Amino acid sequence: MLQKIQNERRSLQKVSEIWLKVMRYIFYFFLIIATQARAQEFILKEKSHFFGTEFSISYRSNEIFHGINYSLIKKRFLLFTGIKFGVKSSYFQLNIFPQFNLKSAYFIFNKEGIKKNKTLNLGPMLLINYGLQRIEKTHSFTDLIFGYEFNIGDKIRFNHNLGIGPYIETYTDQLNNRQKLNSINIQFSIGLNYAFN
Amino acid sequence: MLLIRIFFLLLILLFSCQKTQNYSKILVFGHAGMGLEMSNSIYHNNSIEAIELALNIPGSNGVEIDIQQDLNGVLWLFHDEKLDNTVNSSGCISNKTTAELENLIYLSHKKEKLRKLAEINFDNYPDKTIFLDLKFWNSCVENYSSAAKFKEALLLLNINQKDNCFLIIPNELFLDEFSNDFNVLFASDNFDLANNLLVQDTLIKGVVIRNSKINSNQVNLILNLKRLIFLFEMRSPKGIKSALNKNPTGIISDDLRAAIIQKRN
Repeated sequence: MLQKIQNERRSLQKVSEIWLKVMRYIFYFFLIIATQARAQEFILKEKSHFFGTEFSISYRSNEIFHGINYSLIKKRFLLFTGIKFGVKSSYFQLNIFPQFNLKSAYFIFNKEGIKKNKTLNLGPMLLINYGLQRIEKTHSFTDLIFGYEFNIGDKIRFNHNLGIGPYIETYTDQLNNRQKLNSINIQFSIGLNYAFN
Repeated sequence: MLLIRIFFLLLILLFSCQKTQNYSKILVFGHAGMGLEMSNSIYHNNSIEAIELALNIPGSNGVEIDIQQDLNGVLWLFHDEKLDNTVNSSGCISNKTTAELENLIYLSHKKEKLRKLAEINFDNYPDKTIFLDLKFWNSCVENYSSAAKFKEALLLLNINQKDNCFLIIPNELFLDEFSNDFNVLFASDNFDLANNLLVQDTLIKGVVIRNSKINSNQVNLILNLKRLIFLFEMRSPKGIKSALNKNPTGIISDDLRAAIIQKRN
């Protein structure tokens, strides 16, 4: 039993260390582009690829989620895929757990050329989150969020979304019965994206 | 640029060092089901759904439930002093008949029914500990309900024969009424009073005390008396961690999932 706990702790420590390295690279990445981007004249193509990072909080869970993502904007369509890690209080407490995100949006409102070539997009979005957390046994959390997506910027874009939708938690109880809990969740996210075309 | 600065600041805030300790011997319980006054809880506190979830969730050692008695002597699972704004009625449970309470529902998203203690099948959870927090105070008449009547109702449900069931008595005046027949814990925010009572009365099995009202030395004093000590009122990971660091017999957490996770780490 003790061996099992130690092994789990070691593997969590490894994940945490890897995540810490990833976070360091994100830091360097944004440090470089923050100094470079202002000096460049950048015009986005019709089809733009973005790499970014996002924070999200949701009503149903007490965690902050933070992660990296890739998104593709083609004309008014947005396709987003990402991985986030839920944080109970700090990364060093090893309480992190993964959440996978898939999002699509259609920007009804699309205004180009506002304030030094910045683009503003606003439209409805559909987001699916799938998270896994070990609470003695593994619990899985599925979110289906309907809401709006907003982003502004040129090469560096600030994005935000807010939505509501069903939230399903599934786990195996102590009698090995599969349990399913349904409720409603609200999610708020903010993020920064960098276009690399 | 401001946004980038805020982003880096958030990163720094998230990274902080923490020492890990072994909490495997500390028991973890849900407060009133999955937590009291947890706005993001799926089920309302003290609803049968929340209690069953807290008893079935892997890693949980049991649950604390609040008990009130109606005019007919029937025991109900309910926390607040008054029904107002919590269920679709008003007044106090102690002033209502069983018939008046039978069809009440919580004003929550899931609209759970107000339930009787008799509806919990203790035999389904032989390895779980259940704490019954007896609420004697009737705020509608500004007086205490009869302890003898409470005892009668508990005996009728054979609670005295269940080893995994503890009564939480919030007033020292009622301890003698219950300590001979039941497993009794004294609930108080006053450590000195609790400690003195434990020294004087060997029938009291232990004490339930707010996490913020006790330090680790005082916890050790109670443990040295060979009594149980349970801490309650903690919901944030920081609060749960501080309670676990005091090494009590168990913690009654308002965020059961967070408490199980903290205990594992």
